[in-house]
Amino acid sequence: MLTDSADDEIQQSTALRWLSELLTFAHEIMVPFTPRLILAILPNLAHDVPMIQSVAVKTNKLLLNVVQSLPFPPQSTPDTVGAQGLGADGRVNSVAPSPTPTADSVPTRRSTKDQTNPPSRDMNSPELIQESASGQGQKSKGPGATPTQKDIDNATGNLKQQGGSNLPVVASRPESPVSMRSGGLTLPPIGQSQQQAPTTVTQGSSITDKPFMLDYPATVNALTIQFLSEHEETRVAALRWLIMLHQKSPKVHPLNTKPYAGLTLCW
Amino acid sequence: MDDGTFPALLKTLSDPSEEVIKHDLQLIAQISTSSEESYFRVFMHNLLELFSTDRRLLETRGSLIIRQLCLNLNTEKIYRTFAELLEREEVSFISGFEKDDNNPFSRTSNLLVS
Repeated sequence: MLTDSADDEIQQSTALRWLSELLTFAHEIMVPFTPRLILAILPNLAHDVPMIQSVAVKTNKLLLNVVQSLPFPPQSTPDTVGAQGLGADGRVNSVAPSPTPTADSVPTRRSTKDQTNPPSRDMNSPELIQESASGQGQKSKGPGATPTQKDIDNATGNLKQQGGSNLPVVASRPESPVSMRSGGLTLPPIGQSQQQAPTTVTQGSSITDKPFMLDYPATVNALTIQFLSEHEETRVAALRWLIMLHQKSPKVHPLNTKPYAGLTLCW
Repeated sequence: MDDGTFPALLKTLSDPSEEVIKHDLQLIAQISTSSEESYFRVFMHNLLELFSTDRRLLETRGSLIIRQLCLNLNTEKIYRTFAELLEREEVSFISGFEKDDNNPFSRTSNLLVS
């Protein structure tokens, strides 16, 4: 048991370190994953284990800086947010869009280059990401109790092993595989983008335009879930994030978007 | 405003941590500044209602909340809005509120005068 927990700590801190490294040299690729990165990073800002806590703080700063330095088109952003929020029943759709375009766009690019890298595992992973993302989204916007528990468990680390097998699995452990996947999946297209950018853009501009965009509603949802954390550091960090997001583009009013309304259930 | 922003932000005003409250108020002030006037008024109305229903919050955090709001927003506007809203409030609330010399409004008013 002791070794298991030690392994978990190492895995968790290693995963966070991976995230921080990816955020330094491939940050634009990480942006679409911001909502899920927040769910993985913020609960650990007050982690008992200093090794995890310090990396979480560092990763949080990096991600915050990346998002802060994003060039937001002042007019297109509200449109996309509105479209996502007001789409069909905003709750599910609002979360889905961010993983969906990346997951869709990557395999399409991949599939054209199957010869280089037969992606038996990679082809599956987008589906997994998509499923897990939408699953998380539905949970987080539903009654709100489960994500809360999950996040707090993740932060304290007490219930990592005993607590409900589903919850920590989503919140803490798979983050390293997810982050690895996201890196593994999305890194190749950088090189390809120079060659294939024109074709992909013509194929579906609505999809290829979005990959590097921040999903505002999902990000705000992820942040507001952190309000329920028992750790002061996490709650303050979530508010700092929201303040930054609002300063960045006040017209978007992330707190006034429909998906946020779903969180009233949590309160 | 009808979509749950206020419940979430007001709930956070009851947070045990002062840091969280300060950041929450900073966010509220920021949204108020960039929103229409009605946002601010409705928020102030809800804040007063919160104080009237949660006296403990008023006693323990009232001063902090008002001061922080004054830091982030126009102080005179805050007091005017409070005055207008209190004028319309029920007598029981006002009487209990005003008799208390230690209420946050009296205290911060004194600070302003000095």
